[in-house]
Amino acid sequence: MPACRVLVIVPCLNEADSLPTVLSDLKNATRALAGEFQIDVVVVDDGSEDRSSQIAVDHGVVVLRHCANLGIGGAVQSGLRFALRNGYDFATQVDGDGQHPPEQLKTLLQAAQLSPGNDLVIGSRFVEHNGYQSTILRRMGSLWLGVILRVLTGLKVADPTSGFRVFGIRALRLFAQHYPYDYPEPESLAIAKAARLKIAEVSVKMKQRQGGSSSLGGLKGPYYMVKVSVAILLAVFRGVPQTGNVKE
Amino acid sequence: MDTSPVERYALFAVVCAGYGATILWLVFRRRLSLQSSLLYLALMGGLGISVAVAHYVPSVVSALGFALPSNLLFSVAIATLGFLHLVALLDVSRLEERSTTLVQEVALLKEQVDRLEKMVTPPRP
Repeated sequence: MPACRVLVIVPCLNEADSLPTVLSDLKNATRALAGEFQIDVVVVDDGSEDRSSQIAVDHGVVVLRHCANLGIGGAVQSGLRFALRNGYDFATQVDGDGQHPPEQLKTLLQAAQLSPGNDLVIGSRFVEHNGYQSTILRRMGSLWLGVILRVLTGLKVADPTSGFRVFGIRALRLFAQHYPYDYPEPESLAIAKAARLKIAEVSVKMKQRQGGSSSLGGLKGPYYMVKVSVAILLAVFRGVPQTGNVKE
Repeated sequence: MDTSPVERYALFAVVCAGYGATILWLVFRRRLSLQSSLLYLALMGGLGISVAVAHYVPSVVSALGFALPSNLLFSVAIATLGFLHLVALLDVSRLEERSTTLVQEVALLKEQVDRLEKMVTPPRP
């Protein structure tokens, strides 16, 4: 049986400090998984002003350069479109800030491959409470969003804000066309649920960000909570998004 | 000295005409699209015409339940500006969607071009 083709999407914005380590770790993880999966890496540079793109080029990976900053959702969606157009079976997101250890990819990919019905596999910090657990405020925010998702969609997710996830082919088709641009992770789960995708969660260990700064400082935290809560509510009422015009 | 309503509102009509002329000039110079400015032009035209029929304004105002003509003016202005803002928000949202898709497509096409260039460019000796 030919190995599954997997695309690792690394969205980054001014991550020159952490990107070399992330890409080196990815290379090692890719090598370790070479028998089971054929893994390629694409770095999506979301308008960085530092050397992020050049670092990615130097590491010999594919680079998609945005000429303007779109936000994390736009960056991930570019990667998903690339995966869909180039015939990948799975795509996975590994953040360029070093929070998602590439050695944990095996756990995620095996969960996606061994249960073929799984369209979206989320790497969760809060299933077994391993590794970096984030700040108490963020954990409370994550808990709140988990409650909202559970009440409005019936979906039980311990870590709805985790971006460390694997997209199967149905999720690729859906999100290549409909992926939220701002703070996309919890809203994308509501969209996936509305589209009747099967969502699974596996325990992973995450790290603290290795460089750069978070986009949720200051007043953006409360704004994030309100915006995402409303977005989930809207996603529930909008129902199944149309996916007829996706270019593959 | 008693002035007729038309004379009383003449300055207002001039301001409306000036504003309308400015919008038309911006449309003429392609700084504004005709589609997005039609509503403004219609509003300015309507207000200008109301000066020409100023004799009937008090009766229209009281028929609509307003005590003073200025109350009607402010109500119409607030409602119209709210509507214009909504139209502008729709335009901005549509443009945001389009520009996002464009940025993504440019990135994907640039990657394709780079890949093809590598294939056709002979390696350096």
